[in-house]
Amino acid sequence: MSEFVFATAQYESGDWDSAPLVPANVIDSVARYTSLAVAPTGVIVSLGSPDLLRYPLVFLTGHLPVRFSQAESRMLGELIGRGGMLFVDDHNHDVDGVFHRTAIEEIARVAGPLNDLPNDHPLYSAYFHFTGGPPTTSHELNGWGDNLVHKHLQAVQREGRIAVLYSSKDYSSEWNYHPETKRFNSVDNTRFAVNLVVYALTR
Amino acid sequence: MNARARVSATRQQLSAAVIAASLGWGLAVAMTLLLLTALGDLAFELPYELRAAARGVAIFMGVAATLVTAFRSRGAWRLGSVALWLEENAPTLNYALVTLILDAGGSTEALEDHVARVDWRAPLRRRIGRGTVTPLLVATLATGAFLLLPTNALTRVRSPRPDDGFLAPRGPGESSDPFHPLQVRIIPPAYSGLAGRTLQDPLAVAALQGSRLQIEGHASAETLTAGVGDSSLRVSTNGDRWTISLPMPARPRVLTLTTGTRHRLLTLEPEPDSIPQVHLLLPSRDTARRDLTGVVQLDARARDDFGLESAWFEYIISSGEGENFTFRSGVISRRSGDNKQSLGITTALSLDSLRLAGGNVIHVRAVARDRNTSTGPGLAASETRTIRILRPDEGDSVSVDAMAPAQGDSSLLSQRMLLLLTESLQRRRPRLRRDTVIEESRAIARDQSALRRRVADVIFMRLGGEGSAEESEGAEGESELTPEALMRAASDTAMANGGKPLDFSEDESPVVALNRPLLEAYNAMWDAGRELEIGEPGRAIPHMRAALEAIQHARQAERLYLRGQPKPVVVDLARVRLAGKLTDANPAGTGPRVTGGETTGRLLDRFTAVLELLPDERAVDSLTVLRIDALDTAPGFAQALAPAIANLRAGRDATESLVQARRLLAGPAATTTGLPSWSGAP
Repeated sequence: MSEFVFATAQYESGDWDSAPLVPANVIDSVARYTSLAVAPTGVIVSLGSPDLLRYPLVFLTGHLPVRFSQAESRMLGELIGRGGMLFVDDHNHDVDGVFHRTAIEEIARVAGPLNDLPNDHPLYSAYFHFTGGPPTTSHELNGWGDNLVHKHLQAVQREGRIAVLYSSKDYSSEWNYHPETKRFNSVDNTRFAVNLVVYALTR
Repeated sequence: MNARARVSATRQQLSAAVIAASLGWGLAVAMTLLLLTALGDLAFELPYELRAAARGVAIFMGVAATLVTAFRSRGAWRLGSVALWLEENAPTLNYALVTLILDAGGSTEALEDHVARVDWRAPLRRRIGRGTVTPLLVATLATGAFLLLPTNALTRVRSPRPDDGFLAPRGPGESSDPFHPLQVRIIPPAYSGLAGRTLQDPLAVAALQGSRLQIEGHASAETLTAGVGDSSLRVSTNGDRWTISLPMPARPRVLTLTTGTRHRLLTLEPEPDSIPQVHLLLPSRDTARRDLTGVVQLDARARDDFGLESAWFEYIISSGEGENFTFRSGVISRRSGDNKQSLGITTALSLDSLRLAGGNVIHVRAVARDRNTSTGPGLAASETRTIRILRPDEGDSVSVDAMAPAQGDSSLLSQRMLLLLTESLQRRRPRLRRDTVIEESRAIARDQSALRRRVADVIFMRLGGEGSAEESEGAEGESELTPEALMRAASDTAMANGGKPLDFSEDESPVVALNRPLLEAYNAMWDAGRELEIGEPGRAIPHMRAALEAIQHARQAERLYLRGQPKPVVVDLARVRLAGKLTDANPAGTGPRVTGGETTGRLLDRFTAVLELLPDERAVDSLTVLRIDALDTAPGFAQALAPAIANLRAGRDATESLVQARRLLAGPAATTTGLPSWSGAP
């Protein structure tokens, strides 16, 4: 069995590299809590490249408007059609922001409309149990951005599994710190990332 | 009978023939049109509007043909014209008849005698025959063919109705199959402009999404049921016909018709209305510019399969950096599509009006909407182009991303200048001494060499290298690096930068894919430099031109602002999983906390086991018992358990008090002489 490689999507239109420490943090958590074979470093994969299809879970974030090129739309459709999962997080922590508006527009165009994901979805119990749904982030609790605590994540589901997961909670900021500093947290706020990985690999 | 009486009789015969021919042509034209309409209807199921119009057109054209024919033969009504026609067709008259009829003088008796001797019945019969047989034959054939068509086809043309179809009434001897014949009438959505059509006994119905389907057949509607999937459809009757009306579903479905023990399946296959195709022609690529004013030309083309409603340009201006971004957006040059299938929009985007600042990024795209009012509207957008406004201080620091435009521009000017110098030297060469040629040629070669090193710098900087391999290896003014060595060194630099390169095509190495134009320029400069060194400026010129062209290509082919590659963080998995070597672990060889002896350890085990029971009510009882047991040996722990038990009984969150109790039981954190070698996260 090949090891899990955390992939960050590089797309043409925006600042795809705005959360460079998220991959390391997710990998750290996957290694810390699970026995999954995991690569020690993530990769950056072009959304319009066939290499995208090598990765079961692809992470996409940014602040700026998201406009997929034709090649990116085509490869993203391929990824979803083959059972891959795209996790999109609004780094702009702003529900009415341009990232949000353009990203959901592009996702709807490529994969279909986003719907609220129920808080008892198997994603929230794929490894750790999050009975209240998606964990809140400090950006939400501090009232930054849209000044909302988003009760749900949104998703496009295909045949009962999540194909595209969309978050307005700004996990990109929440998880964008060096894993060495994780020891100072009373509660590891990246545990939800383990659920994402386990869900993407098992469903 | 005198000559005038004979001519008068002839005129009557000709007039009758003209009337017959006119009526014959009129009937022939009208019936031919009706026949063609009926045949077209049989083949293509013409819509009601066309059939109704065809009937009126046929009548009009028939009347017109009659009048035209009669007008063209108007000479048959006049005696003089008839006499002239007779003179023309019976030359033996020798103008005697015309002279008599027109009363032009001469001996009347002699003329009468002459005319009486001439018999013109033969040409008259030929004229009447030729003039009437053809139109009457055509009219007879067209009418006969028309009447031979099926009754319902005749009815649809003769008396068209909006709801008529080809479904023929069942004859007394026909099959009693309730689903035969079956007729499906497809009424496309109005916006499509498509004509309705009727299918006879189809197995599958393919139609545009949003079309309405009317399915008709013969059966008792009381026993007939129809359904698509789990939903049933209403069946209405009209005489001996049943009718089902339903919209074309969004996805392929099977329509099931059932009556008694018989059933029939009909596949409904929706054909989606494609969304428009939009292409942004200008700007053709992303770009960066320093000036905040000026005009950017925008040009786009949109196409749709049925017709466009409108098209426009959208722009978003993002300002800021890091975590603070603001956005403005707008729409310009909205243009109505006028139901055209293709539409071009062009405008000039004035940067002055956008109040731009350094660091702003303008995202431009074209958007088009079709006229799909049924399942749409279909909205489509082109690819997005970005125009970045450079910050004033951008380029002042070495820490900024490599800026290809600035490097490329300066290289371009220098290369062009060197080329001009070389061409000038080549022109003057016949008048110069060989020593002078070599001296000037080598001077140009030195500049060419310096320029080549700058190109190498650009290649290395974009690959993330810290400096030019040429600079580090060669002496000032002298290059020791061959093109092959440069590629190897560049490749080593790219791979040593950690991880895979960002993106490159499959068939090329990352170095070549990313820097192909610049490497071509580099190689050409190398060749040019060699020729210049040996005093052969003429042979260097082709290489210099190739270098200039490659630099221009590099400017046009690539995005002008490349982002740097973030330095990857490599997670030490063994360390995170506490699976490192013993020598790497804490020298003390103990856990991170100091336990309080055997009794405390037992309490900790019991406490941990009780926590596993949460949120079961049994956990509360177990905690109560545990608290009682701990009152003697661990009073602090017992005291901390009290609020936890109270919270749990009240249904409140007891996490904090349980954590505090556990910390008391686990003891203080261990202290070691050095830093722990693992992070200690839970």
